[in-house]
Amino acid sequence: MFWKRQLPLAIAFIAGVVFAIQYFVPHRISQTIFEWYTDWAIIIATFGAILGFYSIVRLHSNKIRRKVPGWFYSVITLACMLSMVLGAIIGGQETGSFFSNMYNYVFVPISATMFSLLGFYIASASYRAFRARTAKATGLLLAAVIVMLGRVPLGQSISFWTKWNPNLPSLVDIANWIMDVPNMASKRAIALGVALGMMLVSLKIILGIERTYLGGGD
Amino acid sequence: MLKKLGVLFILLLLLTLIGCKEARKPAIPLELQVIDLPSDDGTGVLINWIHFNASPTLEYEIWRGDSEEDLKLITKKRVQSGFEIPRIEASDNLIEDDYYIVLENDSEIPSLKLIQANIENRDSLSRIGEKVLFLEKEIAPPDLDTLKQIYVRGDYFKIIAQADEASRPNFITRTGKLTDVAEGFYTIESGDNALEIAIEKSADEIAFLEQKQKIYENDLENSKYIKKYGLKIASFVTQTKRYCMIHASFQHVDVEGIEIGKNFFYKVVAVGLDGSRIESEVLEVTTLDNIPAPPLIQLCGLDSTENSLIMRWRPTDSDISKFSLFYTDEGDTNYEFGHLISEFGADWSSAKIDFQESFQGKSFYLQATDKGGQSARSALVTPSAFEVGEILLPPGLTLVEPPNDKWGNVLQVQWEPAQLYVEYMVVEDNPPQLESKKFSFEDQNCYLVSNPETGQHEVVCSREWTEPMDYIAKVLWVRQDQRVKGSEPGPKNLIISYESAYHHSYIDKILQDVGFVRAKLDEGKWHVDRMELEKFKFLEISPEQHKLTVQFLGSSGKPMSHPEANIELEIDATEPNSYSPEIPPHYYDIFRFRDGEDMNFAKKLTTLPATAREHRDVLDSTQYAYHYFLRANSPSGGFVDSPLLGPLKAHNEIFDTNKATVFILMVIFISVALYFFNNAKRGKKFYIRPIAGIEHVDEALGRATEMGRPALFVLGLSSIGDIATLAGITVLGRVANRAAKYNTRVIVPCYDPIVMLVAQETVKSACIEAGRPDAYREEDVFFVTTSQFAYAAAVNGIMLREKTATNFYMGMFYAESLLLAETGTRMGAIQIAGTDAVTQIPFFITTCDYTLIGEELYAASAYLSDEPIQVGSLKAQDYGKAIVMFLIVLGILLMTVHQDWIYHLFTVVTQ
Repeated sequence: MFWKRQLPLAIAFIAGVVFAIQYFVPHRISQTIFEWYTDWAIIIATFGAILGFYSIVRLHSNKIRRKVPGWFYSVITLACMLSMVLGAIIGGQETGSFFSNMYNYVFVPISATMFSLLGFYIASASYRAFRARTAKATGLLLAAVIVMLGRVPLGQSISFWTKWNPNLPSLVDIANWIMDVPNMASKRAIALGVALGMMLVSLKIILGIERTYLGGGD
Repeated sequence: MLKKLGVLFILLLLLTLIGCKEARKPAIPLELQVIDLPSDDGTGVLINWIHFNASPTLEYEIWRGDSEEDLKLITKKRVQSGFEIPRIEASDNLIEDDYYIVLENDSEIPSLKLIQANIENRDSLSRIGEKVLFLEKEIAPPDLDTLKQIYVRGDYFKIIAQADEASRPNFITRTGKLTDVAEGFYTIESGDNALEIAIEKSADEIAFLEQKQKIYENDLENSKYIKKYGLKIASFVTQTKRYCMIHASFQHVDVEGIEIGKNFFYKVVAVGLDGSRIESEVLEVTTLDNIPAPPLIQLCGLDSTENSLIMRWRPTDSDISKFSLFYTDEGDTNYEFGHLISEFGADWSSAKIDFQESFQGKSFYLQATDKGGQSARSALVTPSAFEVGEILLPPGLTLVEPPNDKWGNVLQVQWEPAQLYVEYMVVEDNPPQLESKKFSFEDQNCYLVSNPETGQHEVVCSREWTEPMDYIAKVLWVRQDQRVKGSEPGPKNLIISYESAYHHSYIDKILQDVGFVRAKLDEGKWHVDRMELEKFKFLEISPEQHKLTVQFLGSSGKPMSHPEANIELEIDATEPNSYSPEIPPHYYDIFRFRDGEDMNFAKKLTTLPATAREHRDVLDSTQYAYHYFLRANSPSGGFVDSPLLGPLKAHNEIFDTNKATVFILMVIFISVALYFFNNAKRGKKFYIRPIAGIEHVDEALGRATEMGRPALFVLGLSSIGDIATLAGITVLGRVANRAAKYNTRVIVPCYDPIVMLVAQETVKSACIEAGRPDAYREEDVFFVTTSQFAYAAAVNGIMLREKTATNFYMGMFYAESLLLAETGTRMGAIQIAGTDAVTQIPFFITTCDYTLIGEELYAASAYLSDEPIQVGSLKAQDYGKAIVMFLIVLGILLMTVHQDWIYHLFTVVTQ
């Protein structure tokens, strides 16, 4: 119980208080402690990669052994992972190496493909969001149309009323206003709430009220 | 089907690998030289070699050791990417002319001689040389063919002039206007028109072009024509070889761990694009403490007004310990009677000496002494009269210790005045259309001559004249661009740039507070640069005189009272022009020395332009107090030193006063939280508003149970150090507990291995707590990848294969949020999301059934737990929000009445 509960809680409490104070102390010792902590965080994260590797191998080898549906994907996953690891160890990571070629000509295009799918997904999600079924949805639709037009050259071209009176706002101006005022205000309101929430969760962790992060209930 | 796909994938993989051709090997590092660094203290070695651009070399490794057998890698030098990505743009077939390559001398890199064949030499050339088939003007890529690569010295050009080039005129361009003064007389008057003057080629140039040679070796005689009409040849290609000529020199100065008088062994290894390696031979060098090079005296001036000697010199060595200034008799060329005047530190390159004796018959010299005690003297110099002129020291020069620096090791020299400046450019709104008018002189003899009185060029023509004296060239015709008739100067655009160089300075509190800048033209409306673009544009202004007013405003929009913060400029918009504020030509040197040490050995820290207003000195040690002084230098060489500043010692502080407001707010907030925690402990009940997303967790899990499908829980893409991830894990604990009770699987694919460990423990404990330890399956909480889109693809795959009925997204998300949530929507799953990523919230709202917005994510765990103390924390959060709202309203009111202090109260200046 001491190792699984009291000690981690004590570490969380001490580290929480120390680093809360550290933020306000512009002193050599304070900075040294912070850098020391940062170095430790990097070291621990590096060991985390070993855990991740172990988890993947275990999960997929179990799937292959049990011949669960789709086990062939596990074979491909393990084969790719091992070939990349061995490729990097044996052939290095320099330009032109197996690792580099696989990364640049296989992994990067596949990732880009996934990212480009986002365009279609946004279109589909926008269609659902902008269906003008209620007054709120209609307002959202209007705002979206104005912002979209204001972000492309067409927005300026079709703002014909600015020819009559240059002081009238064009679609670009209205789009900028929507982004800078109502949108920014709501974003900041959320950000302020988030900041307070984070502070409170941190306080609960430091005081030992919130313990779920230790891996379980109380 | 799946197997077929897998086989296809492996086939594609193999094809990719087969497609990676074996690249050609790199060239050995050529002409390697390893020499003791000249004029140093024996702690430097210079390594030189030649890299041919055609060599497929990725990088060079430099190896060093105490013996030939024990060499260690000390550094790598990357070959510029421009060198190793060559390509062929074109090859020119040389069918008409036979050229042969003959190599001269047998050195590592032979010289290439190109000889044109004729009837007499063809046979002998074919025996000793190789016939050229192609030439290349770009370097061939490494995998182009299997030709053997030969690296040679040579500088050849292919002449690419057209057949009729000799009869074509040359062109020169001038700005001006060609005016017909009288019959046959033209002058070039000043003006904005572009003049293109066609002149006859010189006889030399025509002779060069009429020669039939197509390929020239660069030589001094024809250099200008070769460069004008020639295209540099990168390589010659014969039947079996490619002779590559373009190369660059590589150099490395090794100073790390070199000791005096020791032998060192070096080799250079060329690493190819394919990873192959080729080593040079191992070369030996012995390091020596060399005699320093004599200092070069640039100025030895006598300022008669102060009877002082001004010296400026250029150090020519790297290990100087001091400079000593001597005077001696004028004829003492052997330096026998030198008297020491003063000594200066190694950083010094100028000095002023108040010399009490007469300068008559005196010469001066400077002696540079290196760290090994060896010295070298400059030539004897006799002072000449020199007027320092008026050099003003900047006002308000002070030495301060900036407060709140993180390491407590900063001292700052600063001075005034703070500077704000504005520059502008007037450009044509709609540039007028131009038409070209051609003046032909077919029936006249016209010449371009230089008018010695005006220095301008003129075109003079006459039917009777022959060649005038000192003409530049015979003119064939002149083309003049002119505005289209009727195109009058129209409206102009005014583009203004401004800079307040001291936004981040500590010297002028007022300028530090610059919030916005606004500008207006004449009495028009103000334009405010809210986005801090540091630019204004006034479009279509009338072509006349205007008054531009630029004001620097405080954060609340109130004009600043600083005199430089209100700038008025007269703008002449009748024609395009520009204005830039004058930057003073002088510059400053900043010196520092430790308290108690000799000022003449002060360390020169930096040289700053006259626009600078501060120097921030980060000290290595805070144990000592330091003096500083500033040396203001004029371009003519004169200078003046400021009075000494200091001594001052840098101190560590224990509280950052810039963060005082944050500290106070934190204390208030913690106090409020503790108050509610205590109240909750005593059993006080609090009302908290219902949050739809949280209330429907049970319903969502119930649906999964009814359908007999698993639930998916995604913890986002952040690490365990992120509060959003911790909040997500807390919610996971509650969800896993209820899922265990319902006997429903919860799949948790993790992005971070540490998060995975915590998630495994959390789910396990939740199952035990629910009385269903058997419900925990370790393989359901697993690590996927730390690559964003690979993770998105994997989770989407899990959704499709496992047909999850309920999806939870709790944590920090980026661009993958929509990919995940949209797939879930299409699957028909109930989705509950919670994130503090403001940019991703709209995507979740659009695609999920319930969304916890920002802080609601943090409230979720408290809400689900039903523990009084957790509920109390939510109440504390609400009161925290009330405090923030009050401060926002107060801030709006105060800023509206120009009370900037509220803005600065909440500005944290980090250093």
